[in-house]
Parts: sequence; structure tokens; C-alpha cells
Amino acid sequence: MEKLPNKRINLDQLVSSIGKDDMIAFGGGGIQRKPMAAAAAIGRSDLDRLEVASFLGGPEVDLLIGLGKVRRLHFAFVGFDAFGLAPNFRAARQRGEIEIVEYSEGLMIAAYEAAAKRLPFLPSRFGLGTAIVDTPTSPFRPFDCPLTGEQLLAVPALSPDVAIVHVNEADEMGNALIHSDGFADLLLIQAAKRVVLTAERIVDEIPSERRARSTFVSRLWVDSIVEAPAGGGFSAVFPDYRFDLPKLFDYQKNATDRAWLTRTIAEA
Amino acid sequence: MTSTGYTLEELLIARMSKEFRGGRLGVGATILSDLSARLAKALYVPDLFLTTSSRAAADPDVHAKSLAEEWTLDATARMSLDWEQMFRMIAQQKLQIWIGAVQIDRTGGSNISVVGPWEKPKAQFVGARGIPDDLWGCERLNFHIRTHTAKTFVEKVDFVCGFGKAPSLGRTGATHAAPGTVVSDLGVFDFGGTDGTMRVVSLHPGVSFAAVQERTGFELANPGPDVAITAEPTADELHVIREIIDPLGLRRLDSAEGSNALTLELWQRDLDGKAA
Repeated sequence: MEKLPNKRINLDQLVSSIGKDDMIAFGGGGIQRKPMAAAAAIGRSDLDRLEVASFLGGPEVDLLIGLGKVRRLHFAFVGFDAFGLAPNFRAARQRGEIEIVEYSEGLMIAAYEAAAKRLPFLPSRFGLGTAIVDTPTSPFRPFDCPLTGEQLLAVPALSPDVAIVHVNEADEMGNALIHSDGFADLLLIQAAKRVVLTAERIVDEIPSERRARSTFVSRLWVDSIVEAPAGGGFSAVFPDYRFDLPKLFDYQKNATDRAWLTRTIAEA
Repeated sequence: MTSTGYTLEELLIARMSKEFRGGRLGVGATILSDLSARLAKALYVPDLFLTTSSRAAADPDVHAKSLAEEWTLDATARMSLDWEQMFRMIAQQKLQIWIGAVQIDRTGGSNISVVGPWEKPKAQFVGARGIPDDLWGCERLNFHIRTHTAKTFVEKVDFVCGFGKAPSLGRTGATHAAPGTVVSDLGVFDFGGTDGTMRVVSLHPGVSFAAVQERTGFELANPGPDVAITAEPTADELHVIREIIDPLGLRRLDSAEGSNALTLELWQRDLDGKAA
């Protein structure tokens, strides 16, 4: 009989598995369940000029922008939710330094869903008539529905080369549970070409009795798992820990200082 | 607290609570409008479906607002609302929402993404987020603007996250939202003016039309001396706001008093409350 696979790797192996032209997508949303340990590890590496996707970007995206590592960003939102704006994203945009592809939430969900279904695009009505369709990097194309004649948007599939999602617990085969808001993560996991989960805990077995409202991630979607206790950094990982507001404000105050940022990720 | 026995924030929460109808999502993207959805559910619309900062704890009972909603709402939440299902609810116009905006224009266009040219903005905000979707997901988009200024109320938004007057769209198979009610620190407005332009619905107690016009970046029709005054919150409303949905006083963060120091103080109090 074959041995059960063990998908456990460490953060260094995660970083070295990323190719230089890979598009990296991060899970979580705003200041909830952000893969900060993974983002810091990427920040410490030689990886550079990255193409990054984040449905609702937060400190993970801001950190990599602040380190000058992001060339192109796909997003529907970047910020710290009710606690202010993302300082490096803001500064880099205002200096015209990074290329962006701006989505709405509904359009990014459609792009991930198209990729998950291995379709070239999905139609959407969301976004129609707004400026999101007309930006210079807009991937959306209006078309007339062949069935009804109505105007719709074609939303091209977005299939990141590697998705990095932080979860509460995972087993060595790659089954995992997310207890907090799942955001677009389950779709992202199915859209990406490769999936790495960072987990607060790696457990022998996902318990068969579990919280009814948690999101289950099947091992069939998962390539690798990394044990990363407190891997959400100062973002909130329900029910393990709340977001750390003093650290968040400290980050906002200092993060546009490259030396401060480099010191901070060295200690992370 | 003013000599009237209530604060501006309490008046705004009470006013915004009047826009919710039952059997749909009730969402507030600002602190005061989130509280207004809770107030509506507590007093007026018991079957309002609340979602707050965690969809994993969706459709909860009315709870005190916290800076860590996942923890406090978990006890009574009925479901985890995944985002795909939420956007299907939005596609079927089950959304009612109050949103903040960086800019709002004369005909109800709204912007939360960038000020200045998109390619190299003068000021980058959070991105279009859900506004281009919400536009196709409800009857009306309502706006809560914390500070009424001529920089916020502009002739034309720099980036159309949500349109007010619809552009030419050819044939569409659905109706889009109309710009609905705007509540600011000065008054209540809608888009029932000439050609769908913004007009005064009521002024808050003590606010003059001249003051509103001075802080608005386009011309408003003068509503005259008989203009309505925004209703004061009732004793019942004040009781629910102070004792049930916001005993911590998070509404202060969505006022002129808001600051990082106050946020830290209330965050710490929130944590201590959890321990108690």
C-alpha cells in the first residue's frame, strides 16, 4: 500500500518553491487572517518584481510593496479596514511606482471562479457602467449576451501560480479548517495552479466533530502546508487571537521607512 | 453630549436606522451606519439580516458593537455567509447598505478609490471595493459622510466607483441602484432635485442652509425657511444605542473626536470587557 503523503514544508521551502515570474496570491481580508509569516519570509528573500493578487489586501501586500518587491498588483481593496489606509500602497501609487489592475469584489470573485472552472472568462453584470471597466489595465470587456442581447462584462480568469492562505488547522495530507470569514479563499484555492497553506497548528487529524460554520479545505486542492504559529502577525485569526492594534498603529507610523520595515521582518 | 441631551452621532444613527426594510441584508460600512442597522433590527425591523465585519458570524441577534466582532457575534450567528452566496444575494437585490465615500457628486456618483488621475493619483484610497457591485445589488445606495466638505461633495467624482445618473448602457437585464439618502454631519439629502440632482431633505438642529452650501462643492437649491429639521432621537432609541448596541461608545470614533489614541483606549476597554 502507498504511504499517505506528507505535504509539510517549512517557510524557506515555500520561498524557494516560488519562481521569479510567478503570480502570488494571498488569502484573508484586510486585517483578518493574513499570511504574514509567509509574506515576511518572501520579504526576506531575493524574490523581486513580483506580480501579486489580493482580493482584499492588507498588511501582507503593503509590506511587500514597502520592500520594493511588487511590480504589479491585482486587487479590489487594499487597506486596514476601519483602522486606516495602507501606507506603502498609498505612497507607491502616489509616486506612480506600481502597476495595478483594479477589480471590484464581485469581479475578482468572478475571475477566480472562471479560473476554478478552467474557463477563459465568466460573464458579470457587476461593474457595468463604472470606471472600473475603463482603466488602462482593465481586463474586462463588455459584450452583448448571445442569448438575450443585453450588455454584460467578460471577466477573464485569474489563475495565480501560487496561492498562500492562512488557516487555523491543517493535517499533513492538506485537509484544513478556516474558522473565521473565508473571504474568497476557497475560490482562490481552486483557481490557483499551486496552493500552500500556512497553519496555526498542524494536527494529526481534523476532528470529525467540528464547528458547523467553519470552512473545510480539501486536501485535493492543497500542495503544501507550513506550520506557522501566530502566522497571522498583527492581523486577527479567529478564534486564536484578535488583531493587535498597538502593533498595527506602529506599522502605519513607521512602515514607509525601509530600514524599519527590514528590521521588523528580520525579527518576524 | 450637547445641552439637547443627545449627541450628533446618536441623531445620525437614529436617522439612518429609518431606511432599512425587512427580509434583506442590512449593512453599514461605517461605525454609525453599522449601529443604525442594529438599532433598526432592535426597534423597527426584527427580521433584518445583519452582517458586520465577519461574514462567518452572519445573521446574528442584536449585540453590542465591538472592535472584534467575530468573537462577540459568534454566540448567536445563524450561519457563515460565504462570499459567493453573499454576491448571489446581492445579484438578487437583497442588499441594503450605507457606505462612506471619499467623493460624492451632484447626481450621486460616488468614489472611494482615488482622487486625481487614476494612473498617478494625488491621493490613493482603498480601491473600488464593492461599490461597482452594490450598484447592481440594491434599490438604493445610501451614503454616510462623516464630515461634510466641498472636497467630499464635488461637481463630478474623479473615479466613478458608483454612477448616479446611469451612463448609456444599451440593453441591460437588471435595474441598477438609484443614489438614495445621504446623511452628513450637517443634514439629510437625496437626489430628488431637478434632473436627479442632490437636494436638502432636512437640516440637523442648529444648522443653516448657508453653512451647508458653503461646505458643498456645487450649488444646492435653497429649501427656504420651511425646511424640515432632522428628527431628534427618541428616548427608546437613545436607550438602545447607549445600553444595548454601543455601551462601549465606539460611535465616538466616527465623530470629530475620533483619533488613534481614542481607538486604542476603546480597544483596550473592549479587551478588558472580554476578560471581565
